[in-house]
Amino acid sequence: MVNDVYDLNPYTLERKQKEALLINELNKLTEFHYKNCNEYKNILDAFGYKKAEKLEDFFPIPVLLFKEYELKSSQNIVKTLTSSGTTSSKVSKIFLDKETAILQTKALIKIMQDFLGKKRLPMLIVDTKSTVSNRYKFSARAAGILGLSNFGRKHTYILDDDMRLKKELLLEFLNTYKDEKILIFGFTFMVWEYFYKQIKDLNLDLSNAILFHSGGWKKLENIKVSNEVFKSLFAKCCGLKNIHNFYGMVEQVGSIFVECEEGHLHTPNFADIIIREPISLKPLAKGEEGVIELLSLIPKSYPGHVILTEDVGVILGEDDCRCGRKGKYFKVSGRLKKAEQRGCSDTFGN
Amino acid sequence: MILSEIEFVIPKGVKFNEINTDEFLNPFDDEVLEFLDLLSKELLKLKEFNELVALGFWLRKSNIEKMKKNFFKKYENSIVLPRGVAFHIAPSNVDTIFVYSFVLSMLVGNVNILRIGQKTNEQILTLIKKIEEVLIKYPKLKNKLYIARYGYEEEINRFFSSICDVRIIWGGDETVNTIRKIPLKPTALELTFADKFSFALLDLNNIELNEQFFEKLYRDSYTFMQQACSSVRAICFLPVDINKKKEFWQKFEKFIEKKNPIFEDKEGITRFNAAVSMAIEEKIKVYRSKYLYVIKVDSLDKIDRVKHPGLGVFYDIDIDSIEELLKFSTKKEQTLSLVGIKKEGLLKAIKNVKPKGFDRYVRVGDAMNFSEVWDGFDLFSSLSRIIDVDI
Repeated sequence: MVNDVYDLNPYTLERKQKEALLINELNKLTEFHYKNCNEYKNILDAFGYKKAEKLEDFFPIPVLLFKEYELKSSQNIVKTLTSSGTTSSKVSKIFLDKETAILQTKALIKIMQDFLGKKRLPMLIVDTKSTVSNRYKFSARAAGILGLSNFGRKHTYILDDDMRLKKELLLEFLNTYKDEKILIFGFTFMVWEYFYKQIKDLNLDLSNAILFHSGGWKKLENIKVSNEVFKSLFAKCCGLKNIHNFYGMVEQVGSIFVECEEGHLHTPNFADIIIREPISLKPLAKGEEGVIELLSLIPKSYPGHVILTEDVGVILGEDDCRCGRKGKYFKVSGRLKKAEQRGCSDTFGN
Repeated sequence: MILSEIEFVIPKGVKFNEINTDEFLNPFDDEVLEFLDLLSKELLKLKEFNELVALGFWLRKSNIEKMKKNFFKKYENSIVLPRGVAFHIAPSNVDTIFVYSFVLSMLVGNVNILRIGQKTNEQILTLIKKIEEVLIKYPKLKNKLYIARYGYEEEINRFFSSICDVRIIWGGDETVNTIRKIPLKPTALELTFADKFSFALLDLNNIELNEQFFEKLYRDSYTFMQQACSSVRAICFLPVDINKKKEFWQKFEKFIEKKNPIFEDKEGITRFNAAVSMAIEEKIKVYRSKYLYVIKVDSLDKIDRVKHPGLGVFYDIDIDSIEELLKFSTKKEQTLSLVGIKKEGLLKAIKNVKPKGFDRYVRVGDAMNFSEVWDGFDLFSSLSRIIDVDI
């Protein structure tokens, strides 16, 4: 059953079916991790966890824990993912065995094909080639690029190591594929800072392109670029209208939430979202803003199937998005605001 | 930043090279007492800022007079002179600690330089404004109190450290370690207040679980959201019927709910993260609700002082005797709030055990009351010079 779920179109299951599937499979996963990851067992024991009957009953592991501990449920680790660690000094470490790595790829393919079709497209990558050159220790950025690269061909990295646009290379690429659909991928901030800003006055025609970008708005919020502004400026400067942001965590690679034509992030069949009130951690209803918990059937080699993020978001609806996709759809409002320190806490120090 | 650009909040516009380093007052100078009395009155009016009112209460005339009486009684056969220039480094967010610090120092006649951080909030701005308004009425004090606001500039710390006779570092092991690297004059002293952890010890057999009791326990813990050094973060219980203990936690939770303390969103997650992280390290049982987390551990050595996030989290430990807690205590322990325990028994236990930790034993409800004896120091004597005349 669980493997079949990746064969379906990823946005087909309606609430009842999906919940039944997820509860059943996540209970199995929880049991598996309980038996195979000692730290996870300690946590569930301490909190008096009992088998889940509803989605919200699963115990979420805070993402911070993947930075503090090496959590794994498998002895056969083939790859370790690390978060880019731009906002804090510690990085998440995610341990993958073959099975989990395969599921990640499978899930990603299903999701992307729904937006891109089955044909591999000529692909521009808004990054420098050296980002992906370390083969054994993957940063989240490299993992993202390599993951998405599966959907393209003629992979062309259009930035040099100093983040300057390789203009000749770009023009040549666009000329070669001017009559085809092309794929552009990059991290949101990079796309804005090093792509948009360097091409906006070049008078390019990118109306044949589809842009996927991810990585958060945090850096862009500071300079007041919203998703709407981002999209409209691209449309204006080069006719690029087919733009999809997507949301995902390094703790759950493969489980990504892609923005549909209506501007909503969608949960696929094998993943879900719960919004919780940050203090009591009680689940919130549709329309109420709170901290995002993500559930995914993919993580098997580490106990990351139910995680509590530090992002804030709102569930907008379920099964009824105008784009036709089933499942919950939501938006991400940003990161939890940093709390002010109270008490005799440190003045100086690192 | 260069020294000439240090921003003095009080007095405004003063330059670093104009700081008075050779004119001091006598201990308990009348003008200082008047200044503090007026400041107290002004702070007591600010009902919207609990911590400022608490400070105003501490500064009230009768309390200062009491300190004065004790001081002169203690040193009746000595001459006490100010130590000189005191450099105070306040913690970033106990808004009022720096006042407690400079007030004691001012009372013994020192010139005071205070570093406050760049984070500001309404409470601290109001406090500084009040100090400024009141201070201006006492010309003699004009060159006795300097408040500078700056970030982490080592150069500034170096300068103030080079001219001071005593350096007082409030709060945080990291701060202490960082500042300690900066040399002082060979004749200067340093007082450091490291990270500390505080307990309550309850003998529920002798406690009536009424509102007054919970009000006191709440004050000892939820003031500063349990993040002051003297905040109760762990509760030890002397042997008691399990149902009485259950009743204690249930009633305490209800009481907190009624008080409805305000947490920031991020704090809710921080608290949860900490509890999960504690569960990885040690065998614990967690009870959680919106208002409190109870972390049950089966022995004192399971306590993780560093992971404890404050924010309404309590360790719950059953112990056999007060001696058990005293024997366990380390240099990290500061305050023990007690109730239901007899003084003679406590004194006997302290003398017998000679505990490494705990510098204060107070009744439940008094943990937050600042006093001139703190972390085992008599601040008055450390901030002054006791002159020995033997002729």
